[in-house]
Amino acid sequence: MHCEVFGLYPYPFDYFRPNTLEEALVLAQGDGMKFLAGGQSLVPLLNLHVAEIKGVVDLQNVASALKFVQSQQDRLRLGSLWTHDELSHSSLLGGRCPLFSQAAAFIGHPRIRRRGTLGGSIAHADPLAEWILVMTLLDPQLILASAKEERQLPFHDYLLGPMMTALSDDELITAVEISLPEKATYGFTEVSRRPGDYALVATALSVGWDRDRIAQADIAISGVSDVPRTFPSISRDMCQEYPSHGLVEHIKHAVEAAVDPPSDVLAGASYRRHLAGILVEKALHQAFDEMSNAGETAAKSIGKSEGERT
Amino acid sequence: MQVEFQFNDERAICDIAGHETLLAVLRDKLGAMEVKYGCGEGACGSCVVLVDGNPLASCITLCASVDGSDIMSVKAPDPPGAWALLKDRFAAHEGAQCGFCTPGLLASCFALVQRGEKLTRQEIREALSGHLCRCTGYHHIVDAVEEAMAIWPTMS
Repeated sequence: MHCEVFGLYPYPFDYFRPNTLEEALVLAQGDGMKFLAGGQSLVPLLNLHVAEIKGVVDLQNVASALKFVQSQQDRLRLGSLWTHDELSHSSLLGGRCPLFSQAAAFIGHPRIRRRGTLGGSIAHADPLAEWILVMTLLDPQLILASAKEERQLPFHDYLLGPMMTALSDDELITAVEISLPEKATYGFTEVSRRPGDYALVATALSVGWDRDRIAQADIAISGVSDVPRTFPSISRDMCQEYPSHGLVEHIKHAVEAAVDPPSDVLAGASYRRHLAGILVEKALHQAFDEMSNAGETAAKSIGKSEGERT
Repeated sequence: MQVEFQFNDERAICDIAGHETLLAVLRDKLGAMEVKYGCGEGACGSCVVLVDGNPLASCITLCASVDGSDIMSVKAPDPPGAWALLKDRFAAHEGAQCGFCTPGLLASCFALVQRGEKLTRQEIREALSGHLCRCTGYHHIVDAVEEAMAIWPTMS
């Protein structure tokens, strides 16, 4: 027991590596146990002595059981142990909800993305984490399993505050179930001091379409309040509108007026407000451009098939 | 508990406790002083080693979780000469100054070169973005890696 050693390394705890999910859930019932997925948030906290635990339940041998994609017409169920790197490839979701690959590309650096997982990030609940912003936007059902029961919880009931969640100590997030509109495009963008740092401000948004008219929209922004927030009334302004420069300007100014960001050592309130407006503008352009690109591709393929018929 | 893994092509059998990080075991039990403790948060990259060929921050990797793996540091035997090539190019371009970040950087570069990656300068910067170097300003490092990537296919 040398204090200089503990100054650098975690306090002692036990290590378990179960081979089945059932075993893992039973182990987690023990006092002071924590699930270990990619370890990119938990182990730093242990090194820094921010967290103290009795033991970890390493999920590496059950990871393959929690890497799945179940795609239905209006919903998508994703296993929780996909890594950020895996989610950054849009092919994983068969082209559905490209927001996942857009957001994953902003997470940390390559080494973190290869280890860190979707479920781990949601459990950790850092308010500036990209997945917490995406979850705030999509408000999915989280599937939570313990040895006793499995339950579903909507994300807005799950996130209680910065790094505070409704997850019990013995519960594991096994999957995330998202409802998807029939035709939607997305935008995701953020600004950080250096690539890989947590964002100062980040924006995620979705636009649902009825042909080329906006049927519904959602906007979520992190870095302007203690946890990411949405803008329901501003989003409603976009419904039934056609994408236009004027609409983007209107939304941008409305968001700037609506946010009340904090000042801290990284950025002042006025700069964060400025970023919120700029990022919403950029993300809207991403979503609109994706729609017009998709429209062009569709038009081309129709043209082609007609050409083939003649 | 007992773990067993290959370290630089030698078998290592260690008695460890669950909380011991790979970094702690490599440095304090196996005397691998080339593996550096930087930030303890997986952010700076100075503790990076290759675990089954993948660069991993050993400071945030529990040793128990790499039981049975093949682990390499910058001091690994090097018959194909990839480590030597990288060290040579780093030296030629002055890609190392104080040298604290260098073993970790070389490990990540080794993985890139071994995979036969041929990246643009911007892609090299992105691939190495998990490494902090407070001396060189990265320019010299990118020069060295770019050249090593160009030379390696002619050697292997």
